[in-house]
Amino acid sequence: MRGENQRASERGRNVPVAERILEVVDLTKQYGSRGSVTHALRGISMAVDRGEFVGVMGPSGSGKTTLLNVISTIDSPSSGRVWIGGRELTALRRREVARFRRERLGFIFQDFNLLDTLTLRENIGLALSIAWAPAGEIDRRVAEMAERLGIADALDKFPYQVSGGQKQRAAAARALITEPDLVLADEPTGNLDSRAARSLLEALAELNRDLQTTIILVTHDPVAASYCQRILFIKDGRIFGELVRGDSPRQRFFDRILAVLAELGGGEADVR
Amino acid sequence: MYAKLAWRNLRRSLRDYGIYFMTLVFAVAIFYVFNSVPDQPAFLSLSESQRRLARGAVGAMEWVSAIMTGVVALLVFYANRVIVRKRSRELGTYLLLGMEQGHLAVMMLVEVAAIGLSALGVGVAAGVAASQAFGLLVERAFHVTVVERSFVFSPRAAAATLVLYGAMFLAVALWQSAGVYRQRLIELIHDARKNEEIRVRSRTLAVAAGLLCVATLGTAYWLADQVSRTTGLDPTDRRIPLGVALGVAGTYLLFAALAGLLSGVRRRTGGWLARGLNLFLYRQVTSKINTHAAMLATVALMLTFTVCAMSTGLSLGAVVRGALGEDAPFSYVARALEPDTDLSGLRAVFAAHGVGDAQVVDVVVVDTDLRGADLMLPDDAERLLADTDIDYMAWIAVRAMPYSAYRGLRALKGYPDVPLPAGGYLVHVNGGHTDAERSHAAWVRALAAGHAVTVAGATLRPASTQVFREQMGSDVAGYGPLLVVPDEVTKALLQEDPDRGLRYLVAEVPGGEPAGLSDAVNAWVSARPFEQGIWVSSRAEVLGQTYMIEAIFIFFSFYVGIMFILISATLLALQQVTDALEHRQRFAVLQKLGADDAMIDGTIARQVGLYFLTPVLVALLHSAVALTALNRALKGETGYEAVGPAALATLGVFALIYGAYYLLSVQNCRLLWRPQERG
Repeated sequence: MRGENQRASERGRNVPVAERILEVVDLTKQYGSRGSVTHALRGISMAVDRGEFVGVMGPSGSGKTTLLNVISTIDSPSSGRVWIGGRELTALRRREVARFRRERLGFIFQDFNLLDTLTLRENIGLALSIAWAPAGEIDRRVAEMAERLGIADALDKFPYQVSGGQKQRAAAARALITEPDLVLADEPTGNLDSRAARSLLEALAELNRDLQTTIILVTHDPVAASYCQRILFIKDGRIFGELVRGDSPRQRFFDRILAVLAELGGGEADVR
Repeated sequence: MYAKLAWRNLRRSLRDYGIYFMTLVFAVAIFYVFNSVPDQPAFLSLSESQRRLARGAVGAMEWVSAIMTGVVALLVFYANRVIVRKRSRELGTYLLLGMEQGHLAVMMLVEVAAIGLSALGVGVAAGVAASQAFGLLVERAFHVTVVERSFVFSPRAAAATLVLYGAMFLAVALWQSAGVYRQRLIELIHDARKNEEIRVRSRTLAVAAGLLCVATLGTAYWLADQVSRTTGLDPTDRRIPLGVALGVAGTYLLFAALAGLLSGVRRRTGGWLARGLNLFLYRQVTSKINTHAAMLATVALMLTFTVCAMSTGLSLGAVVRGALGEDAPFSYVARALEPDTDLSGLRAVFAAHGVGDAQVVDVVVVDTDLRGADLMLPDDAERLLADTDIDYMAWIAVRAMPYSAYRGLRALKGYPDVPLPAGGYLVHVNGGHTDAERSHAAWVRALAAGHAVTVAGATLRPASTQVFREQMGSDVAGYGPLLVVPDEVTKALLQEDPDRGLRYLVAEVPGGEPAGLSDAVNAWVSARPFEQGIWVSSRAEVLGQTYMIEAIFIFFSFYVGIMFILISATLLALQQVTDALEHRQRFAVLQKLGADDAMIDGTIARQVGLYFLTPVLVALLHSAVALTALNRALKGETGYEAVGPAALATLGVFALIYGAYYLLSVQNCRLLWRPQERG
């Protein structure tokens, strides 16, 4: 099954036909019962092709975290369907879900970051160990990925010994090392200072360019979002709008994002 | 890789939850030590009667051990749940990285089982080591001396420990990993976030709970007081379970009220709260009481049980020893069923060991047709016989003893001589009895009035207005009134019906017991034909039994008490440590605000201290009421007041163990908030 998709690095940029990595059709999600029901998602449809760097933005409570949870197999939808790499998520059995996460997904979540009993090297390698990759190959690929993300000299340190930026880059390395179809990032720059944040985002953008890694970035930070090629805006469980960067320089894209956010946040009622 | 992961996790768990591990080791060690007592060399030096008692205790021991293991199992289960809950985030990471749920479950199984089994190994080793020293304690408790000392090892206890605790750890590990196997990732996320909630309680509910608490506890205390003044130690009194139930409910209400009331206090400027880190300390403590109110109440109740059980056990033991000991005033009492049995052989045995005739008294006691009421004036008799309250003295059959024997017995013990003129009688009640105060008063009135008594055709009049109460032992003097009559009267009674007589030979050995006497006596008795119905009871033996009984009481109360203290303290320590692990950043924030290390360390010590102190104070309050009631009841029933020293001893042991756990918890928490070398 793995053979169908060549290693992304070999493929380079010469993808003849856009391969659909993620397809979401009419996704809804409700919590609660009887008296108090929360509609977190009210019919979301979206698609992401291979090699895209997509951002999802929205205020808190808009449902973006729920959307991410469903896409990343953490949660299951109330109705609607999700396909990743051609496989429908709801049809997956438990063992297949684990395999799916191993081989096809990568996470940079704030809640599930590095394990404090392992060094950075071991943390990054854990993703491959779980997939039973041979030890020699693990070492090689960890070194390679660490080099790319600029944390090669911190590999043998423990998480508490390195800075927030280095930790997040290690998390990014871990997410990417298995060459997943889809990388899901939830506020990866949340705890970082602006310099470390920029460094991480640039690294992600670079990986997206060089390795054609598909990335979905959920954020409320317009600076982070400006690194994406395309942004979906969510409000009250629905897609509010979409912004495509096209050829705009990043600063320009950033201004356009701010404009949409202003509209998202206030709405017509606030205009006096 | 899995092996390395599991190993690292194990090391971290042992380091973070060292206190819990330590308690497990103690629990296993104590289990082994107490179960190995029957195999101690001191046991082999016990007398036959002591061994009989011991065997009965061993049987009870097995039940108690099983129950204690169950309680420890609950602790292990709860602790594992807390620990795994705290690792929700970590487990979620494994699942997200694509680890199969089955693999994760196996990894957890190995971790939990490894901790349990290593606690088992270390515990048994520690137990074996401790039982060497424990042997000395046992010798002292049984008042025996062991001639040959060797390495003490009980294969039976070791096997029981390994099997029981091994099974328990494996069962909990399996249960835990089954839970992990079933766990859904979304639940782990919710768990990870839920731990940070601080529940807000309604103030009105808290006040209501407080009022209800005062009502229930007040009633419970009043009931305890009432019971102690009336029915005393009667276990069938329904007020006792009612009082206990009210006490339990009241304790939970108390903590619920505390949680609600404390968290609502607004800060008053200029007060204690405004100084140093006191506000932080206050919020920490109240928030923890808030979150863990139910557990704190449970711990308070467990501690109450501990203090009461240990004090009761120790005091009952002392009382039994005292009461039974008093009941054997003579060195040897031999009894034969036939009044004309030849006991000269026994006299010879005594003489051969230096106990001359002057120290031996021959006694024949005869049953009469009279009852206690017959020694009273008619009005008293009628009244007491009709009384439905427990005063059995009026009903008991009166035994008659010849004056010469009575005089001899009094002389043996050095009691003052009492003359008996012809045609007179004396009344003797062994040791007196607080139950029978009214009968006593009735007899005294009868004696004062010169009440005549007819026995075997002879009419006798009182030779003294006093009811004699010196200890003669219930063997000889019975439990009811003893009528001392002129020798001819008992002779006449015997002639009427020889079957109503019992023959005693009483010997008093001044000073120490001559060597070999007890063996010789036992040998003589065993050689007698069975039909003669001869037995001999020696004070040494009775004392041996009482020491045994007291030791058994102490044994059980300490076993249960210590285990409960360990478990309670561990629960509290566990809560403190897991809270500290989770909210480490709180202390980091304090540091950033400029609080120095000493301030923070001090705050931790006070926080943990207040947390540990709260259930103890409640437990002490409950115990004070319960034990005062117990003391009153005991005194009424037996005349002994032994609860005071027992309670002190209990509190001493309690303070030692609890205090140790407190200090360890403080140390543990202090280490946790500093960024230290991990992994």
